[in-house]
Amino acid sequence: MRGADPRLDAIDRELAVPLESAREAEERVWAALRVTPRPRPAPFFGLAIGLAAVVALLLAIGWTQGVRVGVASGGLPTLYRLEIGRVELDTPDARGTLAVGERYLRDPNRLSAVADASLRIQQAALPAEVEVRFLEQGQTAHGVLARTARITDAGRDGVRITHEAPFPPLARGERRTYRVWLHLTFSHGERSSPRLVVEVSGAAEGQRVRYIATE
Amino acid sequence: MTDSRVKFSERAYEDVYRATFPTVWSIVRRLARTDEEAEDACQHAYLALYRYWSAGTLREAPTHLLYRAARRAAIDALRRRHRLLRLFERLPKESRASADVGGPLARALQKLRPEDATLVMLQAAAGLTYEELAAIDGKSVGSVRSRLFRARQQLARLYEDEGGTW
Repeated sequence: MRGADPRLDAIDRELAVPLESAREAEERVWAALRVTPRPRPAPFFGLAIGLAAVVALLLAIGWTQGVRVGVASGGLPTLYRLEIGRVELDTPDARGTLAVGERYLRDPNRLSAVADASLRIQQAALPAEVEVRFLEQGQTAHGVLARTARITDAGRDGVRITHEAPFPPLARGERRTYRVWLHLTFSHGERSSPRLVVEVSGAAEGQRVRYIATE
Repeated sequence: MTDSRVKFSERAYEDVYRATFPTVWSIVRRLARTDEEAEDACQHAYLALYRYWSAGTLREAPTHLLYRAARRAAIDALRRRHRLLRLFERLPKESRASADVGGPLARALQKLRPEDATLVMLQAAAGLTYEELAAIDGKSVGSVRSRLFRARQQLARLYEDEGGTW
């Protein structure tokens, strides 16, 4: 117990005496502290940095997957996907792809569901006709989103055909399921790609499209 | 002891600094090898206080955090000293050693376990109670009390071994 041993009391007294060097050291350390940039982390600074890093990582991953951010005039940022699904056509006469996605097409403030076709037709297969066809669920007759008819001229490596075809407009809250495919007509017969089944819906920011299946 | 609810300001920080520095210096300098090493340790301790206090994340009295940080720095300094002693048996001449920390008591203190030496210093120089020491040490009051008792007894013996007289 303190105070019971005079030797220990003597030690305590000696240790309690401030060191003479304290005064000079106090000024030196204070001077050093005044020039040292003092860390002053805001309480939420670390959290904000972490959150921003996670968002940046997600955006980077999304970017590689075709996800983009768009800001319509005066609106909030909107995430959209350049491509939600694709099918390929690979025949001796023609090779190509049909992809479906969403992006700002004609109106910079409204998203559109778009079918993009890109294919090359061999010179020997001409003449030909290319259609991007769609069939609404519950209907028996298909429609055509885009068409190039009477393709007759081609270079040595064939002819390249591209289409950027928006889906039919929908009112806000409306929802339709479509089958979409490439259809080629040659003089010697017809070829079709597999069918993409997608759901297109009308939303405040425009049309959104969702992949359902490939048939 | 300053209350944790005291709002941070540069002025309040300087007030705590001026009020506590002689004690902090006394604790750290007696265990560090040189003035420079002790000054570095003091800077670390006061920067830690600034960081937590200015961010509003201080959950205890500023002096508690300060003494804990100073104690940590002093323990590190004393361990470095012990390592050097083991390596060279005798320390090289110190560049700017203070004359007031070279006596038998300082030498005896430096031979204690670093954790015990800092505990003894906190009690003697800062005048902390067992409860405050227990809060800083993170142990029970009983544990701190018995460790301090043994450490002070050992310190008295080492002091005599170092040629100290009563």
